[in-house]
Amino acid sequence: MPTSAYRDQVRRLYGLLSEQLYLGRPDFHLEGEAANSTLLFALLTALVGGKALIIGEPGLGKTTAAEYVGALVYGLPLGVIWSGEVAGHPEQTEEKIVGRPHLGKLNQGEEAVVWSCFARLPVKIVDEINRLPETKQSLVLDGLDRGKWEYLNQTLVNDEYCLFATANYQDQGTNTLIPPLLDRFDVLVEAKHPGANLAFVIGQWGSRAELLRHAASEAAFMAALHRSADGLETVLEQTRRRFAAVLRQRCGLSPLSRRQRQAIRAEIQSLPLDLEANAFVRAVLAELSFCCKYGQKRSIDVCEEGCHYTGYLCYEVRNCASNRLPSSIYRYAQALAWWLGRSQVAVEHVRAVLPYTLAHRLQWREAYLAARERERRQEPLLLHAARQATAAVFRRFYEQRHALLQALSTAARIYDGEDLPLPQGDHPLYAEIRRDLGQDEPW
Amino acid sequence: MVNPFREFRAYTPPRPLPLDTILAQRNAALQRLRQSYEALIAEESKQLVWVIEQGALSRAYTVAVEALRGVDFTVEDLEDMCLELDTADGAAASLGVPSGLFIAAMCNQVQATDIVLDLRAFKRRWPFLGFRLPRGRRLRLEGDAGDFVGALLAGGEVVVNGNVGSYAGLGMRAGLLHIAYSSGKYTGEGMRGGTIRVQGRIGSLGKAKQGFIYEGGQQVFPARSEE
Repeated sequence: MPTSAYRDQVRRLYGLLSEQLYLGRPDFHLEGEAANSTLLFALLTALVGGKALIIGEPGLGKTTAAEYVGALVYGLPLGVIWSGEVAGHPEQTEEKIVGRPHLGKLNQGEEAVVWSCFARLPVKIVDEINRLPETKQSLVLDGLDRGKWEYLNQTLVNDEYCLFATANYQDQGTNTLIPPLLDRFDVLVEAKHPGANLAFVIGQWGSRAELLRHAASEAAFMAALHRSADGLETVLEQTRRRFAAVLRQRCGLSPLSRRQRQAIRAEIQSLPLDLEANAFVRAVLAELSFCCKYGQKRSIDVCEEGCHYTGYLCYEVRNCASNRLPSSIYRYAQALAWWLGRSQVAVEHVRAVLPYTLAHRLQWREAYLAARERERRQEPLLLHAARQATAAVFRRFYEQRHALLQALSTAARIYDGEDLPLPQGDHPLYAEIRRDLGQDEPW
Repeated sequence: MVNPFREFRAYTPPRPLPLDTILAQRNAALQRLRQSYEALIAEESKQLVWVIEQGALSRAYTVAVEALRGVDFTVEDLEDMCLELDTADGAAASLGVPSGLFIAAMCNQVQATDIVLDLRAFKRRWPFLGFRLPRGRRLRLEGDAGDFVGALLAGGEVVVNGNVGSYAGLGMRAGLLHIAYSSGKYTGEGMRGGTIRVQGRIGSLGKAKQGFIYEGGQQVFPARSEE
């Protein structure tokens, strides 16, 4: 299947989602196209096998978006997707999330694990993750990060999976999400209110879940899963085929097969970043990790007033960007460029995904957040602050992009042994370049 | 170890666009003009009280000419500098008489001999435009001008397509001051030569010594004796 055919199929799936299943305003605009950010980022997450944190008020479709996208991209009826959902609540246990001992075999003196549907299924949804107490959030850290689940000295590794977690805004029953858990999410997106008029239509429609339900497939899947006679892949493929036939009949569309998903993933991964996009990501990472006084950003070190780099983002944030950040930016910018039918990832694609990859990861200085809080905005504060920061970094980058690109080019040649003068400039990226060339300034 | 910059080896800087070059040149010229103006202000700020009298005018004008010496600029740069004086705060802020003398000095130093300034684009009404404009230069001012237009005119031609304030043509020695609309009080005060033509009305005539002043096509100085 040629590249455009896969994209066309995914776009038709998005069309089905946005027109018949999940109504929301298009709030994401790029290259003349508009999409609903919740749906689009959920779709990109399912395609790249990423992790998305969907936040919003209760009842605005956080879990629904994840369920519908998961069902269509992975070809599983909603009943199966529901079986793999985990609810975040204080009494949640490892046995309910990961797996439990096989009691029958235990009685016979054997140790065996019955893995949970959540651990086994490729679409994982943690509903209201911030109702998990901080102490229990670490239960899912490794599983979320690598798809690796451990119980009773046994390990289950997911070859292919995507993860969605939903979170309400702070109330009496919620807990703070610990930074290591937050950092494991690639993107944060808000499920927004669709507006009075679309909300009225949603009320008129009622639940649209029936379109993605198929009781016979669901029952067959659960029975096969519990028999465990066949491998999980076989069971999933059988269910997908049955469900695909039903869906074709209902709306003329097929969900993606595993082979198609792999092909799409390969296409997305093959898209290169052009040099400007590459340099922009480096400029962002430099501003989020550089510290002229303490060597790098650390959440335990306090940035002082009067620092030369006060105008840069490093002064406004408290923590350091993790190595997961560039990976998230890279994957989602590639996925967005693929969605838009581009052969290269341009700086605009990076710029568009950046707020969603930064919002949950950055720990802002209080004064910065207080200033942003009073601004007029359409998004939750963290996303708004990340968007403003993205705009500021981009402005700085754009003004000096030719000089930065030249500096990186010179650095490449110095690194390979040429005798050239060191690149000089004010942006933290210059200092990072000098460090990488072993020419750090003496303190 | 892996070269973390390897993708950038192949980078070739973009060829500068002609527009970029033009803009860079204009920025550089504006920067030099701004420095000249700041030099004038630094010198003039030493005067505790700035009084409009012959000595002060000559001193300030000489400083402005000195500050502009060696600065290569065009009429477009001159316009940019006027815009800068019209809008800037801080050290480059416009300061009435010194600003007007600086603009006059720019008009007298610029390479082009035919200069057009659209005063309608500016909020300020600078005095002394056309001050000491030498022979062979023509300054056309679109819109209303301030006081002392064409003061000490030295053979040049000043055409104002609008009204002017008081003391138009103050002490002018030679040249032509043409005002398309009306002039204020003391028009031609102390003039020693040249011609002032006011198409509209003259508020009042100053004490001219020599030269010619016309109001609406009628000669009003020297007054013609009725034959």
